[in-house]
Amino acid sequence: MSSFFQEPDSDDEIPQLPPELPPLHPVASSSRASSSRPSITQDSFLSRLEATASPRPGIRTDHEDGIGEEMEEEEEEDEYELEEGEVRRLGKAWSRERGTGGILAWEGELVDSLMDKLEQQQKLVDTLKSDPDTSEEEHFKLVLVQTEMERVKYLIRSYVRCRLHKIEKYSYHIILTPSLHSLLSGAELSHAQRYTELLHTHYSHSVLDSLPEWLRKMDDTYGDGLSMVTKPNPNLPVLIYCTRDCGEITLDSGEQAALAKGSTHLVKYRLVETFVLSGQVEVL
Amino acid sequence: MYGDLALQLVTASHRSTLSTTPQLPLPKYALPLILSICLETRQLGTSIASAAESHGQVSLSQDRALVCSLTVQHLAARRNKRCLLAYLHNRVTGIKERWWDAGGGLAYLLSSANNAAVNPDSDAPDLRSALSPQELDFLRGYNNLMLDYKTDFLDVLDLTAGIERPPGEIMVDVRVVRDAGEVVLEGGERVDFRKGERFRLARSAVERLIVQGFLEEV
Repeated sequence: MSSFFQEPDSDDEIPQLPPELPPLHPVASSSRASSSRPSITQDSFLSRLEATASPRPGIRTDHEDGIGEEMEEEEEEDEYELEEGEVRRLGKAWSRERGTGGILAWEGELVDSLMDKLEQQQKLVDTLKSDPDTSEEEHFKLVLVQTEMERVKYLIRSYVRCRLHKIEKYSYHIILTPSLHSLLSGAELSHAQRYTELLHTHYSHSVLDSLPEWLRKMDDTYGDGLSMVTKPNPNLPVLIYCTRDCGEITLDSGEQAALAKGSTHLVKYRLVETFVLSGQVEVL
Repeated sequence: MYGDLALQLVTASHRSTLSTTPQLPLPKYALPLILSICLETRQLGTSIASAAESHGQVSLSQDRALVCSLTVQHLAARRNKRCLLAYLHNRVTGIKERWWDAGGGLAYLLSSANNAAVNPDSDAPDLRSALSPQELDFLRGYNNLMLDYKTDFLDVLDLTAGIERPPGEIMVDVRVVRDAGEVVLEGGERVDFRKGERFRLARSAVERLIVQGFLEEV
């Protein structure tokens, strides 16, 4: 996970995918070829792309359709259909959280509802497992259901931990910025507060207390403008997929780039933040 | 030169994080170096204060040599602080990483058994002796924080289980690498893990033992 967040910050605009890259959306390239910059070679782009893509071993939501259909119990099937949508939504939230630098809104309802369902499902599975009438074939299906449950658990775990990682990284910034508080769950906010406290106590006891008094602050800004409070870098690139037409954005170089439906782009987060938040584009 | 010691500190700190696979043992807390940097900074502080006192506001703006030396001392002091904090921050990151790698098992992390398992033939200091008392406090505090946080989830899932790759199979074949004694697994099943034996068990039940190096996936 850490490697994923430590991508080199580049001020270079990363242009859109080269034509041969996205097998999914070949439309992408043609409309954007005009603004492609020769300065970035395809090699460096590819390696960046890989660095971005590789730490997400795909939980592929489409894979889950198969298991969903194999559920044996009629009444469970309806419930499962519903849950499937939630799993997919969590999957999107998860990749959005992982793909961006700043902290995003906590999907509390989604996680709670999934957790409840997991608990019910677990009870159901336990009952069926201990039921002597359950046939061999049903046992096999139960294994599939359990595997699926493990995968959903993985998704939640990874989502929560990814957020924790960001919260700890930017804890002081979060505390100092009240507008961010609404994005966090109660537990996360208190974690941020207590973590900041813990960290500052540690720093003070370790070294700051033995420095001259004017050097003991935790929110200084250095002469070069670097602040002690770590903030998310809005210039980090994000890989986005447009689920609908988002009009045009203006790149730093002044060029216009069209975000057409079905196209994939790698751009600075700052430029597409509104689209990401409104859900018009998905972060890959 | 001002700042030489601080530079030494950050260089060493940077070097210790260069390798993540295999993870290097956390170096011993550089207490003597840190104390001398703090001393240097305090001396700079006193020197700045006394210089500012003995000269009034007027001469400060006229005496270029004085302004220059004050600026240098001021910058050096700030730089020292920055290096010290960078060093601590780097270590905090390393400590947290090890905490997560151990699946949140604080006792396991600090026991010498852990060290023996990771580097059986090296005499590197174990984590407990590599940490300063303050860092140990931090680790304990962090452990408590995370315990509080994960209790909300605990009835359904364990947050501290690994997330390196998505789960594939539910069952896993394991070989016992170190004696773990009798362990009560999920569902009340009791298993006596002796070195060399092989088992086929639910992954979620033995995940922790795999992380802590008692079992090995076959």
